Amino acid sequence: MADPKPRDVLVDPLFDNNPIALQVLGICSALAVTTQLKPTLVMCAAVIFVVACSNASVSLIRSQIPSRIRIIVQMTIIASLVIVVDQVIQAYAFSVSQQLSVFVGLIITNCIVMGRAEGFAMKNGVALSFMDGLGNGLGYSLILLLVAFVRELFGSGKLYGITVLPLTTEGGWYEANGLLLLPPSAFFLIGLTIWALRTWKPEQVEGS
Amino acid sequence: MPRETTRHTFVVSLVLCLVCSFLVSGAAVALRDLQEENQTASRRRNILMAAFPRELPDEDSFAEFYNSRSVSGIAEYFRDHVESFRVDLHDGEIVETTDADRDYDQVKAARDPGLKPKLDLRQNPQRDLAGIKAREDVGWVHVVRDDQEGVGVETIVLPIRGYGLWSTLKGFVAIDGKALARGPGEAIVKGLTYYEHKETPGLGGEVDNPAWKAKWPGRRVFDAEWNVKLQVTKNPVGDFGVDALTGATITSTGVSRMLKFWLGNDGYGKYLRKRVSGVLSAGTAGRGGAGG
Repeated sequence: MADPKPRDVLVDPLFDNNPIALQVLGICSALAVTTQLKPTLVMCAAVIFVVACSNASVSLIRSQIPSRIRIIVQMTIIASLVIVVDQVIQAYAFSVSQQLSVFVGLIITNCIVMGRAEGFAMKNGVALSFMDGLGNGLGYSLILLLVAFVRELFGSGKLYGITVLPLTTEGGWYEANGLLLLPPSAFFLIGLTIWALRTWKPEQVEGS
Repeated sequence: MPRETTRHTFVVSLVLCLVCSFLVSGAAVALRDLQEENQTASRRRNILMAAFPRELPDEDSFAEFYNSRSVSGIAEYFRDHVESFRVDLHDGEIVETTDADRDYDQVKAARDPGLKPKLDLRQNPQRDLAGIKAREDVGWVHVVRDDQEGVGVETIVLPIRGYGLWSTLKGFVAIDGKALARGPGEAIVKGLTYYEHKETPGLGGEVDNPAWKAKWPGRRVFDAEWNVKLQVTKNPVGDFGVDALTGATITSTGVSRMLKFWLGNDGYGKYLRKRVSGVLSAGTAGRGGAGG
């Protein structure tokens, strides 16, 4: 790979090299936290913060990390950042923290974070790594927000907790789609997104 | 310095661990007060959710703070409408609650190894229906009074906890105080809510499901002899049963057993009896707004 440009590492992960749609990483939390926009938004902010900061930190000490323990070192940095984020969410967004429950903690095992630390930050400078983390976090957020938008709107007739489609159970006209509240619906939505993305950008299709 | 030597590996790990532990413990300490405030507000919200599962004393004003995340709004309602006091579970008498006791945590008290409990469940495992292994001597009682629109509401909210399948479920059961005052056979449930558990999502975790919680209000609690008849059961008949959770037999049984324990003689049963027979003068020792 030739010298990557800051703009490219920031924008590429949005559509051209999206961590969820192209690399199919970080799916677990995409299923779990996307029934409503609000917790999704908090989750996205947490992931963006963690992946950007862990990339920058790993890059900062990359010349000092002995290769034998590099994975453990990355893991320690990521885990510490995740714990800090979890504490902050518990302090400032308590109700959301209860909805997200273990999934904030599970950012530690999110393959995107680990993948960027090992695959990018170990080889590139601090600023560039930070941008790369930001870009990948945003790429992840883009898909999650899209999924959450559809799930909340058609699953419970609301957007960000505000009623858009009044439900029949509450005297309105909209019959909620219960499937969208269940985790598998996120799979379908991500699948459709990948389909749409690859129709738009055929070069992402594998094996052709 | 060569970075692949054993010495360097140790130095890097040590420095990294120190930096990370400072970061983590710094965040934990700095944010603890805010987190505790949130937890108090959340506990209070749960007390109110048990007390008013659906019928609200005054739709607008109640719904406003019921849904609000404002910590101060809930604190205000608690100050005006909720009396929190402590009772001795062993004899049912009200225990004096000073300011120092406002943060009394009965779950923690039960675990205190220095305490000699009046009822030692380890010595009497057959009485430990809830599977809690140790019972504290003193427990909180919250009485919610709301006289809006001329409908006097008096609800007794009691903390309950007990083992399900994977975890201890912690929550509140609310009993209609005015109905109870007419005698044990008249007592009905106002609501039941859990604020902490780790049961299987979708199965035992359905204790959080509003549709299941909606089955509780109006269920009767005791027979005329103060025996706890309220229980979770398959295909319930009569006034006492609540339909069990599908695929969660052990969690359902756990809920039944903890109700039997906490409403029975080893739980709040003695206090409730004294309250009904009028031996207690409720309100004298109470102090509103305690943490609970």
